[in-house]
Amino acid sequence: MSMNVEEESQELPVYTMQWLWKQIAWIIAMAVIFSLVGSAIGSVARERFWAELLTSRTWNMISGALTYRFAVITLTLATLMMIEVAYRKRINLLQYGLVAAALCLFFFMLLALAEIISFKAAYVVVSIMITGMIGIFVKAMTRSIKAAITAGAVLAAEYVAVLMLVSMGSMALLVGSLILFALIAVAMYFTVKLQIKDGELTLGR
Amino acid sequence: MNNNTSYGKKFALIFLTACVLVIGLFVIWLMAMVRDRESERVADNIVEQWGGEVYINGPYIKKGENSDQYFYPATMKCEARVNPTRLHRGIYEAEVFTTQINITGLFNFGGFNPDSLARQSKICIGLPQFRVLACDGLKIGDKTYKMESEDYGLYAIVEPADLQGEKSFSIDLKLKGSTSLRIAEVATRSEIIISGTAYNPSFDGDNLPLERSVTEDLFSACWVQDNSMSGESTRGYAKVDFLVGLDRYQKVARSVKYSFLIILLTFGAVLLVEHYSRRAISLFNYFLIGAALVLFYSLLLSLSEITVFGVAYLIASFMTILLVAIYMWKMMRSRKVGVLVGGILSLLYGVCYVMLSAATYALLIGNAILFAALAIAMYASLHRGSLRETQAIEP
Repeated sequence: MSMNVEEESQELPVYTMQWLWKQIAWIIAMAVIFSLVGSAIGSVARERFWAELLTSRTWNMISGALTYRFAVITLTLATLMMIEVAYRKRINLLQYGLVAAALCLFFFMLLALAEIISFKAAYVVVSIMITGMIGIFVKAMTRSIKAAITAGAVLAAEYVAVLMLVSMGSMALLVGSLILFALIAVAMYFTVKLQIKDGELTLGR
Repeated sequence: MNNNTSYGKKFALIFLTACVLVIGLFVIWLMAMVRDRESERVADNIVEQWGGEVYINGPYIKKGENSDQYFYPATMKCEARVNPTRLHRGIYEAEVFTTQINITGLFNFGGFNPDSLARQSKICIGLPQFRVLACDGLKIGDKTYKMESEDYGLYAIVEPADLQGEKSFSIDLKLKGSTSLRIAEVATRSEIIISGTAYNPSFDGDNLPLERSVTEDLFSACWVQDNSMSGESTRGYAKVDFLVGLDRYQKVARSVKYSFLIILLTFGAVLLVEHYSRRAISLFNYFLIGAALVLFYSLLLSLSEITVFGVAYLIASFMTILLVAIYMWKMMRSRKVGVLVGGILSLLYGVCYVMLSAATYALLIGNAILFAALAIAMYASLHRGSLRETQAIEP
C-alpha cells in the first residue's frame, strides 16, 4: 500500500501550465521588489554624486544602467525558469530570490567600483563577477554545465546590451526596439518548442 | 496565521504590516527634520553674534580720498590658518573660527610718479567690520605703519617718499568669523594657502585650488593666480566654506530612508525561518519585531544628540539586534535561529552605516561583505540530499 502511494506521488506532474503561470507571477513580484531595492541603490548613487564622490558622467551612466534593472531581473529569472523545465531540476523560490539579489548587487558593485576606476572598466569587472557567481550557482543547482553556460551566455548578452544602450544616447531607442523584437522572436520560438507530454511541460528536442 | 495560510496571503499581510510601521518611521523622520531646522536657526543666531563671512581684500593703495584709482601689489603670498571653536547652546552647537592671517609680498613702484598722489592717499585692506582681534602694523620696506579702522576695513596714510622702487610689505592679522573665509587675489601674482582643523570644509573661488588635502585632523589648499604673462587685470578670489551647524540630523534622516528596506528584508528572513522550522509565527509577532526596528531610529536620533553619530549608531544597533535576536531565540526555542537572525540584522545595519558614510572606500567594503553574504546564502540554499528530506518552498 505504501509503495503504491509513493509511486503515485512520484508520477504527479510538476511542470504543468498552472505551474508556469504561478511561476511567472512570482517572477514578476520578485522583479518588482528587487526593482525597489534598485531604486534605493539609485538614491545612494545620487547622494554620493551630491557629496562629490562620483563624477557627473559616471552618475549619468549608472542612472541609465539602473533604468534597465526590471528588464534584466525579469529576463534572467525567466531564463532560470526555462532551465528548470528543460533540465527538470526543481529550483525553489528562495533560489530565484538569491539570483535576483545577485542581479541587484551588480548595480551596487558597479557604483562602488565606478567611483574608483572608469565606468567601462568597472562595468566589465562587475559583469564578469556576477555572471560567474550566477553561473556557478546554476551549475550547483542543476548539476549540469550546459545549463550554467546557457545562463551565463544569457547574462553576458544582457549586460552587453545594457552597456550598449547606456553608451548610445539617441540611438538607444532604435537598438532597444530591435533587441525587444529579437526577444519576442525568441519567446515565440520557445512557445513552439514547449510541448505537453504526459501532462507535463517539456522542451521538445 | 496557521500552517494552512497560503504564502501569497502571508506575503501580503506582512507587507501591509510593514506599511503600517512606515507611519512610525515617518514620525521619526519628521522629528529629525524639525530638530534640524531648529539647529539651523540656533546656528544662524550664534553666527550673528560672533560674526559671519570673512572677506579680505588687500592690501592695495588708494590714490586720494575720493579717488577711484587703485594701485595693486606685484606679488602677494597669503597664509591663513583657521582655528575653529564650537559654541554650544543647549543640545545645539555651531562651529565658528578665529583665523591667523599673514600677508607678504612686493609692491613694484618703478615708474610711479609720486606727485600723482594726492594728499590723503592711503593703503587699505578691506575687511568685514568689527572682526579684527589683533593687527600688527603694516610693514612697507623698513617702515611700520599703524593701521586705523574704518567702515570698510583698515587703512593707513602713506608718505609718497616711501613709495619708490621695489618695496616688500608684510602684515599679520587675527580675525574672527564663521561660515566662510574669502581672500581676494589682489596682486599680479597671488598665492593663497588656507589650512586649519575645521570640520567639513569645501573649496571654492573663481578658480579651484591647485592642490588640496583633507584628512581627519587637517585640511589645506593652495590657490595660485598668475596674471604676469597674460597681462589680464581680472582679480579673483579664493574661498573655503565651512559647515556651521550640525549635520547629525541630516544623517539620521538619510538613514530613515533605508529603513523600509531593512524592515522588509528582516521580515523576509523571519518568514524563511518560519518556513524552515515549520512553526507558525503570528502576525502580531511580526509587528513587534518591526516596532523594535522602528525604535532603532528613535534611539539613533536621541543618542546622536549626546554622542558622536558613529557611537550612537553602534549603541542603538547593538540594543536592537540583541532585542530581536533574543526574541527570535525564545520564540523558536532554538539558539541557532537567534544567532542567524542576529547575524542577518548585523549585516543589514553594517551595510547601511557604510552607505551613510562618505568615506571613499566605504561602498567597496560594504559590497565585499554583501558579495560574501550572498555566496554563503546561495551555498546554504542548495539541496543536499533528496527532495523528500529537505524542505522546498513551493508557491
